[in-house]
Parts: sequence; structure tokens; C-alpha cells
Amino acid sequence: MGPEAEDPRVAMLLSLADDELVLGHRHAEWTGWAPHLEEDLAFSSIAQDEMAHARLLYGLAGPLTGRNEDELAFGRRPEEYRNAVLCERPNGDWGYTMARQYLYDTADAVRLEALEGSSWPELVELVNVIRLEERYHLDHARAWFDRLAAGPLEGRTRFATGLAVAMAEAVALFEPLPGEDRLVDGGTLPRSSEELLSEWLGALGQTLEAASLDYVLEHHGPVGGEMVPTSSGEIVAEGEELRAPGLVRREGAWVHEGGFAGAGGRQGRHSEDFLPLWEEMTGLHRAHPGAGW
Amino acid sequence: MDVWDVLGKRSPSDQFVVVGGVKAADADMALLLARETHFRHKEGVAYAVRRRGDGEVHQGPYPEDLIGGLTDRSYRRQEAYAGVGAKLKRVQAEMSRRGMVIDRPRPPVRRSASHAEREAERSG
Repeated sequence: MGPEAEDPRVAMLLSLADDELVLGHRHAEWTGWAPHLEEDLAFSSIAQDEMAHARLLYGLAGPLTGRNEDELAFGRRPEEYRNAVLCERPNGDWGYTMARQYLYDTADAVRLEALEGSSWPELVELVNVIRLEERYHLDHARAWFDRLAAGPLEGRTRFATGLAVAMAEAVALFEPLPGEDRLVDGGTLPRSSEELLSEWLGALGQTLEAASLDYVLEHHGPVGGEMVPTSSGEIVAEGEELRAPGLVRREGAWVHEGGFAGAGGRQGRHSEDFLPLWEEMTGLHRAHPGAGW
Repeated sequence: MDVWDVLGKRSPSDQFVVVGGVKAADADMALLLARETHFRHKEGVAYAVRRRGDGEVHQGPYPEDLIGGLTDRSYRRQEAYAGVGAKLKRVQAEMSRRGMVIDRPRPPVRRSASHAEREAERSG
């Protein structure tokens, strides 16, 4: 039994940190390729912020796991990462990248706001810092949302396609955490993942309706998450494939229907896109374990 | 896209001075981008943009402590690379002690490969 099973705080911290690390890695792949120089700098800076936030969270997990930040970020096997599948998907075009950033950062804002009320003071301290920096990420995401949603047609179409593709996997950001009942009972996680999903979806539905893009909630793509073989070729993640709640409009608001079933990123179950990312991200650490610079 | 002058203050008592420029579709986007293009290393305590040729100044919405971020960004700065030469010598000495040597020439200095060149390399 690992430290995650013994202390559900570890699973929560790794879920938060792995989301930031892996998405930061994907964002960083735009460096040198973003649509224009100014955006290249801004988005690269956001990527570095995400990794810095991951570092803070790994630092808090360190005493609970006996592993330092580098070991947690780069020294785990693929099935030990707890990021949502959304974060590991390739960047695609700018429309998908901006759609994912909008969905991720608005969802992240909801969970960080909730965590400010946590009974764990050290976590609250970190979350306060992260939220202040995340304000810029939200501003950036909203600025691109407004401009892409307003057209011209090709940009709006690509953005809408990106939203539709990313939507179901964004819902899975709220896949219940291992040991969540204990986290909620103890006040470490002030509200359940299901409550946070409801809040996010309600606000998102209003925004999408205002932009006449709410159809992406009805016509979104499937949730990803497949068995991932380890580098030895062995498939270790077991369990049913994740199914996310359905999204429906009831009494003037978008709500989720049903619950999560099966296992996804929060249980270490990833898509076919994760292994190549993990190999690149951790290659230097694996080649030179414990090396410093 | 329009060109926007970027203005900054080093300290609260300074006047805004032009520190550079960005291309952006509108004032809000110019403000969003200028924060990271010109002030991500805490080069100022306040900033603004002005469409080149216009008189109207649009001030950045972020308080002083948020300009340049709150987390440790020292690794992003040039001084983070101080002592690289000495580190390289130490690495070479350690390699020599182990009977190893770097004998490949340095890569040529040239423009980075274009996207098309990278794609051609990938496809073999």
C-alpha cells in the first residue's frame, strides 16, 4: 500500500500538481510556434507558471511521500501520474489549445477557490499564491475566448471544434479523487468534486450560451483514457474505462446527469498520448538520476 | 494589427516612459501581452499601452506585486546561467577522471531549423 492509499491528501496534491505539470509541458511546446511573437512570450510564461505551481504542490507532498520535487515530477512511472487526460492531449491547432486553456483554467479556478477554505493551512497558503498568478491565466483565456468566439468564421469554427473535442475530457477534471470521502469529511477538500463540477458547468453553460456556442455541450467528443503499457510493455492500470456524467439543459441551466464510472487519470489511467509525453518529459531525469545543475 | 507603445514605471514615483512596443488587435489584448513581453522579470511596478500615434493611454490592471509573478522565477533570468563555464570545466574534469572526453565538435551556429525542415527530419 503506497502513501496515496494511506493518506488521501497525497492523491489530491498529485492530481493538482500533475495537471499543472503536464499541461505546462504541453503549453511549452508552443514556444517558438505560437501565432505571433508577443503571444509566444505570453504563453511560454504561462507554461512556466503552471510548472512553478506544480513545484509548490510537489513540495507540499514531499514530507508525505518521502520524495523530493524532482522525484515526484520526473521520477514516477506513467501509471503513477494522476493528471486528467485533458492535460496530456497534444496541442493540435491554436483553436484547440485555447479551448483547452479556457476549460482548464475556469475549472481550476473553481477548485482553487474551494481549496481556499481547506482545513489544511499549508495548502491554503499555497493556493493563495497560485490563485493570484492564475488570475492572469484566466484573463488570457477569456481574452482569446471572446475574440475567437466573435469570429471571423474560420477562427470561431476552429475554436468551437476545439471546445467540442475537449469538453468531455474537461468534465473529467472533476473525476472523484481516491479517498475523496475522507478528504471532504476532514475539511481538506471543502466540497466534493461533484459539487465543484456543478458549479463550473453552470457558469460555463451561461458563457457558452451568451456566445451561442452551447451546442458544444450537446455535441462533445467522448472521454478518453485507455490502458497504457509501461515502458516494459506491461499493462498495469486495471478497471473499467472512465465514463463521465452526461451534460443536459434543465430549467434554464446546464447540469450534469449521472456520475462518473470506471477509472481515468485520477487513478493513473491515461490515453495513448501520455507515454510519448512522459518519455520526453522525464528522459533527462531517467538518464541521470539525481543529477543537479 | 496595430502597433502599441508599451510604457512602464520602474518605481511608483516615476513617470511612464516608453520601453518598447507590441502588436495587438486592441488595447485589452495589448495590455495582456505587454505584461509578459516587457515586465515578466519585474522590470516595472506599473505599465500601460498607447496606440502608436494616439494620445490615449490604457493602464495595466494588475497591482505591483502581480507584475512579474509571485513564485520563484530566478531560473528565468540571465544570471541563472552564471558560472556555466565553470560548471562545464568541472564536468570535463570529472569525465576526464573517469577516462571520458567530449570529442564531438560544437554544433554549427546557424538559424534554427524551420518547421518544414523539422518535419522533413521527422519523416526521415
